[in-house]
Amino acid sequence: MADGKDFQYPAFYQLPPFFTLQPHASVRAKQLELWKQLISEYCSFHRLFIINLREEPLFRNAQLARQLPSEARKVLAEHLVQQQAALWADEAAKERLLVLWRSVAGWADLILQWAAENGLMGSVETVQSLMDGEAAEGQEFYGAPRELIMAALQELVRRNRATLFRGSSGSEGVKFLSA
Amino acid sequence: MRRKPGIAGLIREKEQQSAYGAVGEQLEADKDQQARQHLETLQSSLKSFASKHRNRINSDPQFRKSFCDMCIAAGVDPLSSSKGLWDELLGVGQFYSDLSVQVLTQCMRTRDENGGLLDLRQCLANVRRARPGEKLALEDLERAVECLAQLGPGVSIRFCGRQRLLCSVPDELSGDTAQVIELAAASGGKVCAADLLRKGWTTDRADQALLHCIREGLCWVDKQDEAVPLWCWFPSIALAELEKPMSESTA
Repeated sequence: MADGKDFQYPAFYQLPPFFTLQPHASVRAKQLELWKQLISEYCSFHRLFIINLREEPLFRNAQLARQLPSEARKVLAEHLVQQQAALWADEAAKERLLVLWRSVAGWADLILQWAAENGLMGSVETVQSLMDGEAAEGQEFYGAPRELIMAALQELVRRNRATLFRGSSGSEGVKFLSA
Repeated sequence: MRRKPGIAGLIREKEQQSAYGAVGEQLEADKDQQARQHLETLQSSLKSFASKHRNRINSDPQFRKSFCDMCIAAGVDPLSSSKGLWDELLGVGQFYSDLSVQVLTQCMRTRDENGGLLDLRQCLANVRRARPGEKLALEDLERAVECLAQLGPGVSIRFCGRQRLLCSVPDELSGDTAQVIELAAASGGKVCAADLLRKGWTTDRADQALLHCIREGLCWVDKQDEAVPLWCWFPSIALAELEKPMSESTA
């Protein structure tokens, strides 16, 4: 969590028009870019993985009496996904976003590095243990949502550095492979 | 000079003129020579002054301004970036060339968010951040813009009430647009149709002017004020206002 220092909002956050979807194409592009950066920094700062489009307090500036309308939030979310700055946590409902303040590849690197450093090459781990196991405590990915861990592991599978399977008890497992 | 009629008269006149012309040219040449000598003396004094006070010129904005004013009064261009003794002794030309590149970079970098209108104070803040430890004043930016002007039109300084904006909008700003910006500059960066109506504009004229600004990407819109259907915000002016510390009266 934040270590005493407050999150620094960008200057634009204090301007009312930041919360209205801009009609002009380049201005809108700039606006979406600014929001994308803000969301990434905000989530990274607070170690937030998932934001709920409807409820997220970041989209509302009470002091200015302004908030990003739901239509604008949808456009923003689509932009984030298109820019690979986020993934839908729920493809069907499209209400929750998994924010990638670190890229999937970046998360994959972290997990792989941790596995190598802890002598886990060739051994089998449960996906659950990555999320909340003792060995993973203190790691950046500790406490990350399942969707993110799975996305990172699938990236490792693509790189031939892991295989995923379902264990006899029904739990998902991963085997890390040496290079 | 009396005019004599007839061809003879015309020929005579021509001869007289060319005689006058020759004398006149000689006078001009002498004047030129004198002027050149005068200028050279002046330049050499300025150069030795500059070289003696070089550090102070580069580090003290007030002193720098006085020095440049002195040069201009003497008819010597301190911004001339031509090679030679001037630049070598001084580095002043270099100083402003570098700064003008910085200014241009700022204009380009912020173009998407302000449509080509960058508040000079915001530009100064940005450049100061990029060159920490160096003392820069608004006058330095103004001189840098003059430096840019030598390269061609493209960046100019517009005066909007008390604010100054760096304008890198490709097309000329119409009178109405300029007035809208000026009004915004006087009210922290925002303007609405009602503001223009209060100035005696018709609804049509106000709407058209604001629409033009929006279409050109010069402003951002805010539609969430219950009292005002549409606010047009000029972000650079507004941001410069936000950055202004309480203690500063004028940037």
